[in-house]
Amino acid sequence: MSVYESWAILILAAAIHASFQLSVSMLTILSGHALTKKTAQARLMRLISSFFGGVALMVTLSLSFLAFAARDLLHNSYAPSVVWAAVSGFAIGVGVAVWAFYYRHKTRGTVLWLPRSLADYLASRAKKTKLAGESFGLGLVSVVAEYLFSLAPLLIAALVIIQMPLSVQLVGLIVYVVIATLPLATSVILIGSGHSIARIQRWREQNKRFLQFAAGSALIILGVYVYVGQVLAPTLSGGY
Amino acid sequence: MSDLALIYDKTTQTTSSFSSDSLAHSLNNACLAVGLSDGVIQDAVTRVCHSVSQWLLQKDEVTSDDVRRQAAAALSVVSAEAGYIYENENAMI
Repeated sequence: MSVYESWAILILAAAIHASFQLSVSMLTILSGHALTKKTAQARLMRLISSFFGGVALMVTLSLSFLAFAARDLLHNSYAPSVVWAAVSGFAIGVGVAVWAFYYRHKTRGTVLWLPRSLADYLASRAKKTKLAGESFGLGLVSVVAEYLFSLAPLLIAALVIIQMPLSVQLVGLIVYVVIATLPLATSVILIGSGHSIARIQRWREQNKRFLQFAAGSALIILGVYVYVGQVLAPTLSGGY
Repeated sequence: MSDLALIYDKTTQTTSSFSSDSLAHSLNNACLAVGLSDGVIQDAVTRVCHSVSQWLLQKDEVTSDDVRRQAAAALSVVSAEAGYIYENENAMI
């Protein structure tokens, strides 16, 4: 895998991760309810910044853990074809699932395809939280709650990062986290600068089908590309 | 006994009478979330509660979703953003 190819795959995986919406939904609920209590702007900023910090930390920890586990289990920087085949198959499967299930089709708004008890719990906590610490914890949990969809891009990114030279691996990790949290960072800036949460939510609702289609398609394209590049090509050229 | 329609909640599967205070509280929150001023909020809440009460007089039994839609439509006349937030507050996640 060439350097350019590694970065292209990493950036695409991060962009797919960025298109998942649970954290932005929770941020919208959290800030909406903070505003209903006439929370001071500084306090609102503390709450949403803490939430963002939790999300960024959990994405960093998840990717670091997967990269460490892959490096440790494989005893090698290069994953064998069988691992790439499994990961690409998983990505294609998740891509189809995103197409079919990511949003609950028959409901209005941006209701996600998550276990209802978990979604209701997250929503109720986001409505009640007043402490920056709890907000930070909610940020951590929001990443975990969406593992079903985000694990595929995280796994591919982890396998790409361990192939990079040691000095570049940290840069790869930072680039992934920055891109994956970009929509959330944008939402934090918009809410912090006084934009209406109704406009943000309405934009998300109006564009949810496009985001769903783009995320699913990109995951399938990424899975197929990885399969061809890392499984078929080495096999046909006599590699392992 | 009130002539207002009873409200059936699909989630809890219970029927209850209309509570103007409860509706006013929810409307107030939606208005605050989009940054309306106190004066506008007070006026909007009074208007919407009255509008929903009048609408309920013409019905026998309605669902809580019907009430939410009706209130959101009335609130949207004052503030489209507040009406949108009120209607969709349970459909964000």
